[in-house]
Amino acid sequence: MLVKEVADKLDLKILAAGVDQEVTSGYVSDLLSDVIANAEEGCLWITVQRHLNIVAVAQLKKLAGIVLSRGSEPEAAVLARAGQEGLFILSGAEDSFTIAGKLYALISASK
Amino acid sequence: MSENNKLARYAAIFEDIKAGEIMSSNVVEISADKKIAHAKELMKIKKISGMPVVDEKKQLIGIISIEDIIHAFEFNKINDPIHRIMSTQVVTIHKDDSLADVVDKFENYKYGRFPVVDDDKRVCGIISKEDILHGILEKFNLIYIHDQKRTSTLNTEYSAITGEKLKVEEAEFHYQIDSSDIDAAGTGAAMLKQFLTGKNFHSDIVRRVGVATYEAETNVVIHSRGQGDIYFYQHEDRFIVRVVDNGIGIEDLDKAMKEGYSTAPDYIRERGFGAGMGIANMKRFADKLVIISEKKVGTQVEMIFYLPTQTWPLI
Amino acid sequence: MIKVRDIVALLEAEVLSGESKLDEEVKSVGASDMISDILALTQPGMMVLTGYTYPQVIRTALVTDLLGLIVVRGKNIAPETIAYARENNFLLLRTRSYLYSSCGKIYATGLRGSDVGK
Repeated sequence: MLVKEVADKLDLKILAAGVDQEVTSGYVSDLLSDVIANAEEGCLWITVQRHLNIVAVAQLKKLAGIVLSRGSEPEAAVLARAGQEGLFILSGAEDSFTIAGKLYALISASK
Repeated sequence: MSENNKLARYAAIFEDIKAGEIMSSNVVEISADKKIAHAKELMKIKKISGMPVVDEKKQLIGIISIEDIIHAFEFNKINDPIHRIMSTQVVTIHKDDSLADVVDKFENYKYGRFPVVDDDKRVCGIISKEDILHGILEKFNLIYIHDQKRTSTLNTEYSAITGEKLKVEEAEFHYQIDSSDIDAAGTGAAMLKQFLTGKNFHSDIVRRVGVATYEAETNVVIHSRGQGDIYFYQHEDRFIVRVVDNGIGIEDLDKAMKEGYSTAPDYIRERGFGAGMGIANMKRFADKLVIISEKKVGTQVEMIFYLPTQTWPLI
Repeated sequence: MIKVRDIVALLEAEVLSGESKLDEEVKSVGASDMISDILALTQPGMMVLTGYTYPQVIRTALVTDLLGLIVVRGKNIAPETIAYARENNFLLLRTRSYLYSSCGKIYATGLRGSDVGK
């Protein structure tokens, strides 16, 4: 399932549109070091972190995109950087647990 | 510096607030020719402990208190007219008086409340210490004082919210924050919570105090680069928590107030801090919050938590 | 009704502390690695999934009266953290599941998150 489809089905707002790709799984973490060490390529990363470094981490790990939970929106610089890098940044009104729970169900059903 | 001087400087911060804005305007007054028994009934129904007394032109001429009524009882004068026993030495506040004037009255006279009058000496309201508190806080749920005046309230013994005295040595709980150890952040809040749990306060207020204090303490550890202290006071119907430090102060409080904004460095964020939710959490869990900060002088966080209300029976 | 022991079974979790709470009802669940977030989650009967293992996390959970914590990804937990949890009879679980799949499995049981701080 592509990032845009996920955004559509989980009611996530697209804050920065990137290069669309298959979402293989999800990864939930608020610690950058954890994501760097453990997240797999093609994951959609769910977090409350929203500072500039998230873009670099997502690029480094070739993630499908970032979902900011609890409706948080980063500063314009973060979105601009994501746009330049072709990285999706989405925002969901719900908490990380809920978004992860729904994404898990969605991906399981599509397999 | 004299106490009044300090107070006056403190009150100057709120100099634009007039007595008329913070008074209770549904004041119960009584005519001087009514019987004392009548005043007693009225005070009982309205659950008040004193009333302004007015003449036929509705001008203020005295005040009657519970003490006066008890006195009348003792001497069997309960059916006398009020003007026989009322106090005529009434200290009043004018509705255009500044908050500083009001605070002065409370300091100089040990009365619990003062009638507020207009230019015609007609009673238009009444001010109690509670009204000062509520009046200010109705206006600002959260106050930040960001100008030269703020130094006058940093490190004083007066509450930035209520103006009441908060002596360091009278705190019921004190914890010195070790700001060199990030692993210890929250220890003081956890100890305060334990202290309150031991006193059997309701778990809801104890938790709120714990969470808000935890955030304030964490801010001292992460951001202040100075020494800090937590002080806890219980005053009648409320808990007051003060977290003070002598650190670098908050650079830009408008930004700091924004959820998600944080100046925490990466290594701090990797320890799960610096989500930019600290002040938001304090605001959410405390009933009232005031943060006063000055660059290179320090930061003072003061929070009020109201205990569930109690009503006291009257005579 | 979902009990702590159902979560233990679902995530094949170890019970590191707070064994006496296995029959308590879990009412909601959260997922976070941030102290402020965990502090904000104060609903009764709430359990939080986290990758955070410093002793601080127990202190935080105790201050906010959480029902318990579930450490994910089979992470090493400092002995001090476990000792601190045990001293306070605090419910501490550990699962090999990742945070994401733990959320997914628990969400599928019908348990929901907290809407605090939305």
